[in-house]
Amino acid sequence: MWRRLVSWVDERLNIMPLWHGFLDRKVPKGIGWFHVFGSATLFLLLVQFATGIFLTVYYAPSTEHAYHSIEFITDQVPFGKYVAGVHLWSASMLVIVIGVHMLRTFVYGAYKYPRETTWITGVVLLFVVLAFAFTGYLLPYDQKAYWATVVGTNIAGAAPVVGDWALRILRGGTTVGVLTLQRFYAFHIWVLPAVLVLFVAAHLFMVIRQGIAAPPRRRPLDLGPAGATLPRREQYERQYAMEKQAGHPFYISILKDAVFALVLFLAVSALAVTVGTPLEPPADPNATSYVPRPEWYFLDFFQLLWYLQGQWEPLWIFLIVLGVLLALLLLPFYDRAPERHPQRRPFAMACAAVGIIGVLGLTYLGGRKPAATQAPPAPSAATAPGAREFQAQGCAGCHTIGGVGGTVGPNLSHIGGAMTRDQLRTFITQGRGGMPAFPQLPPAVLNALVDYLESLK
Amino acid sequence: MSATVPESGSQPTRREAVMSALGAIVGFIGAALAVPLVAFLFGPAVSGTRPGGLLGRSIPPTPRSRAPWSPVGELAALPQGQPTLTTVQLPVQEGWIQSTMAVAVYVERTGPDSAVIFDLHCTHMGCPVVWNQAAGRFLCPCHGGVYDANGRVLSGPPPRPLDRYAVKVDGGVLYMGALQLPGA
Repeated sequence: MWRRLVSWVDERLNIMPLWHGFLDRKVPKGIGWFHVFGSATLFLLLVQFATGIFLTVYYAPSTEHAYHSIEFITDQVPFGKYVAGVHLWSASMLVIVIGVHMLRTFVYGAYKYPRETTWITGVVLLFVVLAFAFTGYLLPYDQKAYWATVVGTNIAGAAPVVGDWALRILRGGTTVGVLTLQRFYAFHIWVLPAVLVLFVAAHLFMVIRQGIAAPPRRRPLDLGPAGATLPRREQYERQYAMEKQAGHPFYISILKDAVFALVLFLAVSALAVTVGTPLEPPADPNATSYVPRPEWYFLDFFQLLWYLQGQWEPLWIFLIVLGVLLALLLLPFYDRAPERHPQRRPFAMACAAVGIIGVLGLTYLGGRKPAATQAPPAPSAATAPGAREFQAQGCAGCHTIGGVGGTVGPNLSHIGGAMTRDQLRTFITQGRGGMPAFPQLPPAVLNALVDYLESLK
Repeated sequence: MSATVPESGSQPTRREAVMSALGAIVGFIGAALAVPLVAFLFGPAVSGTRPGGLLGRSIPPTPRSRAPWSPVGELAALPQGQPTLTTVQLPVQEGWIQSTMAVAVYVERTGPDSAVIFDLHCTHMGCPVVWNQAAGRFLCPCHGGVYDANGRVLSGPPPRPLDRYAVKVDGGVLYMGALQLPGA
């Protein structure tokens, strides 16, 4: 029955040659498990589309109803917790998979000639996905959603000259509220998917048109004595033909893609069923006890804001964002050396390592327990009152003790070995540099604090 | 199926002319649609504002009142020299919705007939600042901003003092006015 249907269609549309051309075309040797992350990205995007479209059946994009519509989805709609959970967790997974996909492309030097345009569309897609994430997590309109949007739109406001406009365009005015949620919804549901589909189509067209880049060789394939004199295009085509000659049909690689997609699907499903969609209390613009923290994939940037201080901070924020964007976008143009093997690109590999350590390190630092929610550890019962004062006076907002606290001021875990009681007392009451003065502290509180700090050795 | 366009003769220039005309038509329709659509998207949000300076800035997300003045309460009932978290009922318009919203602000009586009202958002990135009575400081939980009771920055990244609202006292009642955003 199926075969008869296929042959009926094929007799009219002559599709089989295209289908076989797609499946049977040869791909270079060595296209293996490292190459599953591109198709995994596509798979997770499809999962996002499927679950996202169905979520709009119940979701209401209004400040009054958004939160309760999400509660309705997760608590009352059959499989609601699963559908919303898969949407949430595959979004997080997507960020990781895209990161690994980019890293693989970078290490293999696959962004170099003739695949520059594939890389550029890929970078655009990375930022489109981050824009999806940013607009998506306002939609539940819980505390995290509201405050992350306040901070996120203020970051846009840091841009010189156009910052004010960018902020107002994002918020739909100056207030974060009804208009903000409505336009984030419009962007998340209509504008970004349209852009995404366009760029994914272009990206895939390029991948299929040019073929998957062969894994890099330490020494390029020998084209014979005349090879070196050939034009670049000719050399590339001959070498790629040799790579494909030694390769295997594409359908063999597809199996690995499918297995990895299945693993991701099971992982995302497990997270959706067990963890679900953690929802914070409803958005409260008047909350003063709330400690805003972004979604984990923006923690690195949130942490970076600790280190940028002073009058020029807005400009630094803007330059860093612009710098990262341009460094990625223009990579194929400033790194034009033909060498692709990672061992022959030590500088590029070092840059990648610094970048990865930077992102992971900042994410780790940003993800630690929010400061000032608990008293730091006290070495003895006698100094416990001082530890409580340390927390009560807000010291932990800036200073870390025993791994808890802020990082804007010095780490005080061993301050007792570095300062005398008098020095500590002077520092607290008079301040110095970035340390504000606290002259109004009652003597008992000051003494408890000094007792505590002195005991930290 | 082979290409039907001849290699030479008058055909290529004719094709170029058709392509140019096509480009002109597509370009015109695109531009004619883009201008109103961009204005549609940006319009109400940015109309009447000027471009910013070299240094961008944060803007409090607090709803803006439609009324010039809104009553906060009896001034005498407020403790002196101590910022107090107070909610003020403001008439607000957001797009097509008119409502009365409770907006939280820090109110501090500074004398027998004077007071200041602070917006509760850190001027760094807009996180909600907390008045720590024990320390006598406003503390921001996000990046360690510290302000004194007058809203002056003592430490951390905030680029300007806490934003204030206009105040007036009339018949012993404190009224809250517009947000005083520097440079606005």
